Amino acid sequence: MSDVVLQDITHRYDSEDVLKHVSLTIPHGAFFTLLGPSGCGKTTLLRVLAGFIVPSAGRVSIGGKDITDLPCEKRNMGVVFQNYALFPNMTVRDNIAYGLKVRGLRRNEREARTKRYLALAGLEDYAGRHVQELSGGQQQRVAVARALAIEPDMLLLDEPMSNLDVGLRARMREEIRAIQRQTGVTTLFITHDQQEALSISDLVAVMNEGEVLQVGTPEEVYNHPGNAFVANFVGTANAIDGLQLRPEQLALTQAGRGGTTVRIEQVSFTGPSYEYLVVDERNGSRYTVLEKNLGQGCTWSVGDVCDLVQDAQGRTDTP
Amino acid sequence: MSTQARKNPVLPIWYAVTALLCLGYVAFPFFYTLRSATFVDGSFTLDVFGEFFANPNHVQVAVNSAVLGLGTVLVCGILGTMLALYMTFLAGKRKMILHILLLSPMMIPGVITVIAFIQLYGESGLFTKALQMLLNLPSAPYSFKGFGAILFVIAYTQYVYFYLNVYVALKYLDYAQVEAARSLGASWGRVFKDVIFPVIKPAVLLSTILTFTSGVSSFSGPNLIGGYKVLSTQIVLSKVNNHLEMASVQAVVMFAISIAVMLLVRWYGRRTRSVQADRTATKVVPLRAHPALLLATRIVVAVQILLILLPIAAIVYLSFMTTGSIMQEIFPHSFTLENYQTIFAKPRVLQPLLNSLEMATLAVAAGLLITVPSAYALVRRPSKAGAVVRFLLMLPAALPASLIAINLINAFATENVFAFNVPLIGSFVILPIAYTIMALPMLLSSNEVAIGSLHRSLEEASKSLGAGPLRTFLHVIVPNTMPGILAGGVLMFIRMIGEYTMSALLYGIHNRPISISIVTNMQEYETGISLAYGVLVILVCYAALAVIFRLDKNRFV
Repeated sequence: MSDVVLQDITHRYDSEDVLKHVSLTIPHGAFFTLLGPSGCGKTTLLRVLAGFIVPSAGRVSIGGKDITDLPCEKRNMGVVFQNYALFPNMTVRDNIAYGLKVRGLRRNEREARTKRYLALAGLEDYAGRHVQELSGGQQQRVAVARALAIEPDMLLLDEPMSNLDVGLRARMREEIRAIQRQTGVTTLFITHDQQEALSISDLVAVMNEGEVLQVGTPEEVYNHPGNAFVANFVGTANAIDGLQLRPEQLALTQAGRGGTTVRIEQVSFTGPSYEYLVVDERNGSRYTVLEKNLGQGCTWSVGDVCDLVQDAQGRTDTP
Repeated sequence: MSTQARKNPVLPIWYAVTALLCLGYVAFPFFYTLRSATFVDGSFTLDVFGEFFANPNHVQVAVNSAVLGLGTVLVCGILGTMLALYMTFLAGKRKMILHILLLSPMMIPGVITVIAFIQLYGESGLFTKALQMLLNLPSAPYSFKGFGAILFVIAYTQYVYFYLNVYVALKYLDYAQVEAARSLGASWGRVFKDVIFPVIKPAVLLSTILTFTSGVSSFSGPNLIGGYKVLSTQIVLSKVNNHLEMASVQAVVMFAISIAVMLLVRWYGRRTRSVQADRTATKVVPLRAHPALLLATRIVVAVQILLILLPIAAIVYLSFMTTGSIMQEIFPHSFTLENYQTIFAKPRVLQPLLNSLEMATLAVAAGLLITVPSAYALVRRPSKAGAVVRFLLMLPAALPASLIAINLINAFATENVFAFNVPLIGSFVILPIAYTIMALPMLLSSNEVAIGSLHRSLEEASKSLGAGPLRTFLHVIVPNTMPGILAGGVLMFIRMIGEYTMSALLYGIHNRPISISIVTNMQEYETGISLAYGVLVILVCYAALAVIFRLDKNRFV
């Protein structure tokens, strides 16, 4: 199995450590997501893997083979760039065939493979088009097909959804996931969108300020955040008695039943649920609580005083 | 807006006047030249063309010009593109100062550069003598004459076009595409061919046209260095020998060569797809090059910088030496202020400098007067009539300087209705007119950029607050576009103050320009005066450059 191993990677840029002792193992065939705010070092880590930068310290290996000093053109990494970086002077077909041409593949083999990846990305009808004539989603498909056509050891996706509008984003997410399952290629996906990270990944690594804070399955990271940063970045969190609790793990009950007494400060409707912002007036702490929308309006209104309790069912009692 | 434009009578009148001026001073004079070349004693004949093409010497001169043009493109293309790539991908610290140094040859009139080069590399030049002594040779190690020497000087001044255009084009390179190609396995050679070249191609083609035209029509180098006959020098010779018909034919042949290459390059450009500038482009990350490569490129750049600074240093140094010392001593060292004192003490000696200052100022003022309102109308109210006017204003860009001068001679040696039936040749105004013609295309495009970058809402705000069109133009548009407009004007002023090619064909006793005086003083062994003139012009140019920098820094960065 050719796992990708990052060992104690540190990278210094302009006398600042943008990566601090990062160690990660990306299992063969996994869809692995780096999640973190902008400037956390996730793109730098991708660039280390792609070979665009050599880290100041640490080693990178694939299947036990050290590739730290291998220049990017010798690496066989498929990269999908944030702006796709399609070659504007080439057609869709030529873009996808480019890596194969560079590798000196024979013409018939090259054409067969290009055709296969055109089909995989659903681009058969656009093969002769110039890339400027494509929509954002189509451009992204070309970028993915071009990266996969070289049959890379690893696929690196650098925030590929950030240029798409919301509706398209969800669809492209599914598409990328499907293509990844079909090809089985080990994938590193970079995003700052927690929902995207949770819905698409086998494993998620949460990063902040050049460090990896937690690695785990989406469920592990969401349900058992290792610290306050992870808890807050991956969803909304309420710190109660040293625990990080999700809004859906809390409920509001009538005052005097033994919970923390709070006052409703704000109510917002999000569709599937109501979101309450409540304040504990003794110490000023604020909490977020969710209530399912059952079609009968919200239970509490601004100014009401009630009790905050833990609730595994994710429901609030009626007053 | 457009209906309003149609009602407005000012615009058609303006366009008509501008078109009439362009026709009278640019287009019709060219037909006078054609007539002079094909009408002898009132009847049509191709005899003069026949005379030209039957004489192998004439044909050789035309071939020489074309070869010089090609050589210029090749040397400037390689040097300028390499420097632009270096500055984009490798240069780290001191990038700004390096950039300004690399642009500086543009700021010194060609004729002064040539003289500085002769003082450095000529038979008794400083560099030549130093090398000769260093190697202990009995005579000069090389002869600074002929094709090689001329190409060397032209390349030194013209690489700037390639450098600047390619450098600006590289700003639009999407660095992610470079990385994409690299990650797909492409070598640097392939990256250049497949990713970088498509982006810089329009700039390369434009620079090819520009440098070919200036190579074909270059005059100061071939004239002062000698040893290689080209059309521009033969045109002056024909004119001096009163064979104006032959001068016309030679100018037309020169025009044909440069137009042919221009069309060829355009055709190639249209045949292949170019890349549009990308707004979402990722910025270039300076590369970590192999130390050996980095050292090699640094040496090339250092040599280039030295080549740029040496002539200026030499000319400034020698301008403080007595002429006798320059002529007799191996390394002149008799310091004197005499050269400068002579210039400022004798009105007759100072006059050429004043003439050039006045004529360049007049030309820029007239050029701006014509192009600013035109540029405004063209940017804000595009129309068919506007396109015609624009074509006419851009026409001089396609004409070599020698041809513009020959055209004027043919058209204005006698009475001409466009000059109110006064012969202009021999009068003071003929040179400012020639300079204005030459400056029109550059001024127009620089004004279009300045006005185009002004946001339309500013104008609309002014109008919505009740200001009329004139008030809006004077109080909103002019102040906000003035820096860009003036910077373009100053650049043209620099170009015209040392203009030599047209001046050599058109000057008279009333308007002797500084470039002519620099050359005649040199030829009359008043070397010290000639070099002091050169230094004064350089000073004026650098002062003007400082003005541009204050006005419009972005022009170069």
